Amino acid sequence: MVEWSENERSIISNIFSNLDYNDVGPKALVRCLVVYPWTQRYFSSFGNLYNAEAISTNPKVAAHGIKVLHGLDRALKNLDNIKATYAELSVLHSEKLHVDPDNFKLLSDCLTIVIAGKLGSAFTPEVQATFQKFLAVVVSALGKQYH
Amino acid sequence: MSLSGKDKTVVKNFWAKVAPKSAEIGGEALGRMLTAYPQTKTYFAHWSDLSPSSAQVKKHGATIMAAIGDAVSKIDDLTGSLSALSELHAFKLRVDPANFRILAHNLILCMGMFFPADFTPEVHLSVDKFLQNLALALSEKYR
Repeated sequence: MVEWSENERSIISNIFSNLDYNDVGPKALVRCLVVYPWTQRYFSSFGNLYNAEAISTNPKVAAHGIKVLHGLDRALKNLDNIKATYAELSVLHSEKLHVDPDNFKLLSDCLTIVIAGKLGSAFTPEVQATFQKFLAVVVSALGKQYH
Repeated sequence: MSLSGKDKTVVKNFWAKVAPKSAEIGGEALGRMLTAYPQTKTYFAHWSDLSPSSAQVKKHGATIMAAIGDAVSKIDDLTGSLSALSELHAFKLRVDPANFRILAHNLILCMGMFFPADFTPEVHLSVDKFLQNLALALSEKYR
């Protein structure tokens, strides 16, 4: 099981309590779709993803970015049981959505970069390490039910 | 994923903006890498201080970033211009090339932090490709 110090719990909690989901969610997904264009394969129903401009103004992308970001809330509320908490979502991503789990890391890197851009120097090396640890645990849990 | 003409232009233009903060970004990125990816500390066991505030870390980060800046100016022939550095990393330093990706992530993160308005997704894309090609050129002599 993953161990979280009091300091780590507080860092993670602070990041989310000050998070503008409606801004960060879309930005993270847009960045992922632009920087790693092969990730667009999962969004053929989203309409115009033809270039960076189209992606960044696409309302379906924005809505989905917000949805995915809120998906992290359940990890925040269940820090001591992330693996079990994401079992159902892992099955969904594997059996229904058929998402290559390598993509989870790509999106989590983009999310880290967007949040770093927003928080600036408040995103200290220690905060970065803790947040990346948190995302790594979620990513691992999301990949657990693939077989 | 080789660099297009557009990628090269984007990288050069962005680097012109980044240049004044180059040393700071390099030092910051190296410090973050050592903190967030502790396995990378194994390459610096000979230093006394591996914290982000360490003078050794800041100096070396600046050195790395300067070399990257030089590579930007030689972007049309990365393999050729990085030949000597590749030999250094292959035969003397023997850094596992997986770590180039880790450092690239931290450099990108710092660029996003220092230049939030300029580091758009499109700029991020070209810089990511550039750093990937740089890493490839750096690992050329490994085997």
